[in-house]
Amino acid sequence: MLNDTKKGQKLVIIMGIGITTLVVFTLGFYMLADPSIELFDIITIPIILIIVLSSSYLVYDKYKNMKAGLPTQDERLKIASYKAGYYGFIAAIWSAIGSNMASIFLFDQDLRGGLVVAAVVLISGITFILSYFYFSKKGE
Amino acid sequence: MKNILWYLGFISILSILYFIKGDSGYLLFLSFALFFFTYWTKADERINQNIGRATRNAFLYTMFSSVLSILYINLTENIDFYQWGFALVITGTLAICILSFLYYDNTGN
Repeated sequence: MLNDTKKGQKLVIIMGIGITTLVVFTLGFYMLADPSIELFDIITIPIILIIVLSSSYLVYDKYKNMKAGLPTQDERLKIASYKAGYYGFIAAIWSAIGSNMASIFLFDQDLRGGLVVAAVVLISGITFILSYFYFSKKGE
Repeated sequence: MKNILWYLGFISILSILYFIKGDSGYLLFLSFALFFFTYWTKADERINQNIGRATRNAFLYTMFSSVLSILYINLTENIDFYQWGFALVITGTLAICILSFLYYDNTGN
């Protein structure tokens, strides 16, 4: 689809840079606007930064390949992204159910809705990134 | 690709909580038992690839819908929307996964 044409590849890279900038800007704005940061925020900020840095590396890698005249995504990376998406999906379902259940069993209280959604994004996002790096390096 | 989809079937065990807590909502977890059937699926390369693409789409939907839910609630300060947002994320994820798989399987794209 988008990766098939040179123009599409450029668009993907620009979109990646745009989204990363937006996330960094939002995070910075959030930290400056709310000086009373809770423990949960302190834990989530490094995780968000890891996701941002990993995504930035992927965008940089695509840009480097495009500059060298190579395809930005070959068959091996395509399969790696399918596999990573597969594990990300499993992690999303388990974290959506498991985070609230764990909170009930451990602390005897429901997790706030916002925290459940945040847990889904963070856990599945990290699973996707780690799986993608693992499968793209392993080459299977 | 190793088949780990069937592990989702274990979520159905949580329906036992109905007998402890008495909340009939827990019985909905029984629907996850359907994932046990994927254990016996004889997958070939094409099916594996289609599962990979379908779950990737579902994962992307999870990310976008979760972020949009959080954003909407923060902007409107409508805390009550969280339960709807959560339901939207989970049911949408499963629906996207199944519909995408059927699409790829039927069209051969």
